[in-house]
Amino acid sequence: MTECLLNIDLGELPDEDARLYALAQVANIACGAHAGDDASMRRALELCARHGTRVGAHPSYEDRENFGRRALDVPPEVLRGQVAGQCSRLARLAQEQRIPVVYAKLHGALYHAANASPVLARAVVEGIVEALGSDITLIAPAQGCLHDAARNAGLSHAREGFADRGTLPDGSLIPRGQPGAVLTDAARVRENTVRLATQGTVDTVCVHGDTPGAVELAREVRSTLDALSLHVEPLGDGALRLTLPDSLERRAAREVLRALPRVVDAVVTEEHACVYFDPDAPPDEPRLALARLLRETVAPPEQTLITLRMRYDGPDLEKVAARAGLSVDEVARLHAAREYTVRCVGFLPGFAYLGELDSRIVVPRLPTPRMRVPALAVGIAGARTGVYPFASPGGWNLIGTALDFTAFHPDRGAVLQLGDRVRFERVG
Amino acid sequence: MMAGWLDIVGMGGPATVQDGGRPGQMHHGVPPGGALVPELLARANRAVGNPWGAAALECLGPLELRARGRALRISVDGRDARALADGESLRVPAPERASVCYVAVDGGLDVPEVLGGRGTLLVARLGGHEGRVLKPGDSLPLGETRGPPESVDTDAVWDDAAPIRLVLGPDTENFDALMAASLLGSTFTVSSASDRVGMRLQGPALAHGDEGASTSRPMARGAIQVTLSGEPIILGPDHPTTGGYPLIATVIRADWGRLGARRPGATVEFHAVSQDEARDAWREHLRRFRGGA
Repeated sequence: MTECLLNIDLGELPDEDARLYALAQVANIACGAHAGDDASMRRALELCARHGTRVGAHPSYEDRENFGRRALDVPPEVLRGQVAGQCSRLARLAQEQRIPVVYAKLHGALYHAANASPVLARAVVEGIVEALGSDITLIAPAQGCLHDAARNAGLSHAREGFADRGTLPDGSLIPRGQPGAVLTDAARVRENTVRLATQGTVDTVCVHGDTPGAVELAREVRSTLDALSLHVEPLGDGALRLTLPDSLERRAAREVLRALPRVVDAVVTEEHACVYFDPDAPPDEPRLALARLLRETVAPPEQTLITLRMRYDGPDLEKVAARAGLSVDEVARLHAAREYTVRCVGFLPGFAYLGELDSRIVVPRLPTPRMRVPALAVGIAGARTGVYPFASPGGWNLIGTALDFTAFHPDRGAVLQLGDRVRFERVG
Repeated sequence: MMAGWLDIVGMGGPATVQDGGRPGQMHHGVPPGGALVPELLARANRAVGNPWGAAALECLGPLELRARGRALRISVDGRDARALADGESLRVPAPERASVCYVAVDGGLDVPEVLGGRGTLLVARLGGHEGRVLKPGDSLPLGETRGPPESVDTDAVWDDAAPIRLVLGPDTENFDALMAASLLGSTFTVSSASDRVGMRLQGPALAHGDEGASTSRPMARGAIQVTLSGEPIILGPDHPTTGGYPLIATVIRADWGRLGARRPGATVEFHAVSQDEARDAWREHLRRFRGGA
């Protein structure tokens, strides 16, 4: 699935919440017609620059009194000039701050009027191109005159859906002023977003900056879109593998996924999560379960520090030292000097991948794995270290032996869990 | 009812206690386990009135068994279900067609449950009987008889040579179209270095651009990982839960048993199916081999 972006109409209200700029992926900035002035545009542009938000122009009928939400009878040639003027005004301020304007979207009544009239659509698109060039993406309804006009002018078209607007059975928006036109309930907005983003008919979803509770709604929409943009692929017919963003707290992700109905198990590795299920009873979209974690910065729970005593007596210690250009003693000192975090539990029961190793002692895996590595051998490979819980085949460089450590209990499973902190203490 | 045991009197090949598996423990690094050929386990169990996944013997060779403490009902792969008087012994021949055979006894083998399963996980020495391969002199406790034996349709076996169905991926970016074509167009042979961890295949090498530098990824039974030398290994019930080799394809669940039943030297060909076909095959499989149980 291609990424569906959140666009928010901004720069419209004096008491606008700056957090909306962090949530928006595209900010449609009011250009002084229905709202906004040079000061509000400068502020909006600054906030976009700070948060890496893409900038769009948001031209309108020149009607501050009705916030651009009433259709006006403006001749196409005049409209073209007004739109060009508004867009130029934003472009000039953006240029002062060296921020490119890459989107354009019509506001309110003009959005609907132009989409219904080939003549108006052509006029406004010409105005946009005159001011901003043709390297612009027009945000407009999936179908209608704006789509045709954008195509004729060589503009890209991002098909838009509205997360905070109710729809009629035929898919059209419930007109403003009628019951159900504006959605303010987070759950309804989330459902709307899922529907829009998953049916593949829109490229961008809008939240209006002036909808009550806009920040909360935008957060809901953004996290839902972020979750749905995670790469997912089947691993056979009974598992789905998700690619996780770096920022996602791994242990919380595993717990959330394991708790899903019909999910039998969840494995989290450094870059992926995998949910397992009966092919006859697949779970609902597992990515949506991660939306809450993407929305709130989950502070990792404070993990207790586990200290493992070890001897540096492994058969590969000298080779590792030679490769690193260090003494054996220095390798041991560097390995024991750090605190590690459990990055992944897997391979064998109770095996924990610990990172990050000091870069001075990073070495590749053995070219040929050993047929038998003894239990409690401590190995390093790449930027990871770990303790073999059982005698098994293994390809890591063995640098020592853990003492009095049980990695796995048959009654309660792995001792080291995702996120745990681990230190090695040198003995003897 | 009197307590009963199944005594291992003699063995001509390795045997372990296995059952329906211990799902839900992979986040501890514990593989799902379960029978190499779940269909035969299910048949053996149903023929003696057990739930399909009760603990039974998974045998690679012949063995001699004796009932002790009570009379019992015993079946091999659902065939020849018979009664065994207290003290009576039985010779179980080596598996004939499949790589393994299953010996089920009414009440099942009552070895301790570990992390939700009774099967033996050799690498961690857990489950089964002391976490190890059985040896003569071992005595396995029996559970209480559950239900009436079912008559099992032992003729309805699969075509031994039919292609194994798989879905391609997920690591498709590591393999070009030629490699997928090679997987689907070649005849592979089951290597003798195969076990419950994985089945190694001999055949054309499947080249990929991966140099083994990526971090470990989640694994699943049926996943076909390709080593740096291009050798495909199909992960079995006791597979490592994570691994670093790219996965060219994954055998669908309905065919895990059909694949596991192939002995070293047997040939394997593959046929790619869609997700929908895989799910339909699984539903059909459940209906046929589990009888809704």
